[in-house]
Amino acid sequence: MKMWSITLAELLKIAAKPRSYIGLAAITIIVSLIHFAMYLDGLNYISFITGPVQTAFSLEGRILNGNLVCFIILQTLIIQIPLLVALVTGDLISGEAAMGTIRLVATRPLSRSTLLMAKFLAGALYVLLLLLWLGLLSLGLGLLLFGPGDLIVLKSEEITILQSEDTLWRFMAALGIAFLSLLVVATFSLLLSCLADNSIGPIISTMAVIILFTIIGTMDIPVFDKIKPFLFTTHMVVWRSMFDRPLPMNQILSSAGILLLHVVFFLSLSVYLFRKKDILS
Amino acid sequence: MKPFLLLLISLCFSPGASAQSAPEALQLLREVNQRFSRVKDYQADALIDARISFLKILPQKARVYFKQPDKFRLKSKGIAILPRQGFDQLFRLTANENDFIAFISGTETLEGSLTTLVNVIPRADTSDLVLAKLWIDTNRDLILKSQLTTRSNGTIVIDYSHGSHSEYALPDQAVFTVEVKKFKIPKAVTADINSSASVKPAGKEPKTGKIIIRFTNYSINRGVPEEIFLK
Repeated sequence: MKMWSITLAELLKIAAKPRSYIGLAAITIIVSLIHFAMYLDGLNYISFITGPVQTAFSLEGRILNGNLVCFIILQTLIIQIPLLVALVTGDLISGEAAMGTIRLVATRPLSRSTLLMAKFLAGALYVLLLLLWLGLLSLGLGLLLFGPGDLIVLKSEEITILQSEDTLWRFMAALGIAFLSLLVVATFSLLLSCLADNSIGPIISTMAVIILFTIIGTMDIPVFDKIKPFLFTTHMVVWRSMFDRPLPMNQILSSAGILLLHVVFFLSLSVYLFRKKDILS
Repeated sequence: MKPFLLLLISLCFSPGASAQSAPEALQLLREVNQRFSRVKDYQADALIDARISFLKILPQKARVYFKQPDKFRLKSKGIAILPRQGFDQLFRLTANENDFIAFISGTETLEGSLTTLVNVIPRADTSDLVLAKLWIDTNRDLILKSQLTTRSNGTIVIDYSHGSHSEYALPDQAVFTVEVKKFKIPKAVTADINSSASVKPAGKEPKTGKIIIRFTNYSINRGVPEEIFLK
């Protein structure tokens, strides 16, 4: 059987599960809510976050614009999206084990490696769909409601202002890096899925790991600074570097490389474990 | 002890201590204001180049509009950053001689021009401006440099370069040197997760920032529509 037809079958399985729509629905609701809130009270919010700058300087021009709203949405959702991904990819193997269909699937004339790769590809396509929907909704609706404008990128210790015409390619590249980041989550939850016979375990474990790593990443405690480079969540936020000037290419490439290595490692280990797995259900 | 007491008594009864402006200082300010009062309105292109440690922004093109007595507007396609104080504060203050006390505190040579240093102190206790020092080129009646000490934002130094429009006291370039505090906002607000705090040692960061504004294509006294100033 061709890989594509197996992947398509796996995609149909994903599409048939109601939980697959939770992510899309959550993104639609959150993005719409943020747009609505920014439309009503965005200027107050912006003046609150730019307050430390506006005491000494005045910012002239259209500060509240579609690019800024899109950026705010992306950085708000970056913590939640992996959880939405894990909801589907953590279920790919363990869900079938829990339902007892894994034995049947494994009897088909295809190798377990091919089956797992097909499930991975289906999961990756789902991730891509989530991201495209997020990008389209946040940037498209943002530009429609607020219009284009220069983008203020706020960091805890600096501000970068990017010209409007310099933002679209950065958003595209950022979504590309975010896709790679979410593939790490997808393969990690797939790996845990290979080890479990029910969906709850891999999904909750993936969420727990991401939350734990994110908390460590958020806290400015010197001992955590030594750990941060070894956490994949540290490299997952490298999409933000696409909005730096000058572009820190070394940092972007090294983080992208580390994320890719994680994907390869988690996927290889998943294949190894799935091939060795005793299917008893 | 006796000479010190005599000096103290003489200072207490000196003209300066009775909060009166020195006539020479007032005359200088009048001459400077007179030059600027020839401008009923103007508009000009501006190129704003901000050099502030925590801010990364490319030079921004803008158009500035002014109309007497105090209407000022800057319009730019993108986002431009300007110092909050320093644009019109000085002209507003010195427009009415009852609002301030002025005195001359010496002379100084600035870029080859001999200047008279005039100190201006607002009479109002509530004024944000505490003290303005002006370096005035008495030959051309132009302010070449000003130093504004404010309650809210410390000291702002403005260096002016005059060229083709010096007869109207309009500069070709103004360099604002402003005090900058360390910029830090909580990571939770910026969602700036997984980044490490700055490793720059305390005290090593620049304490001032510069905003350089170059003015070109002045259009003076040709009328500026009122709608421009409506936000």
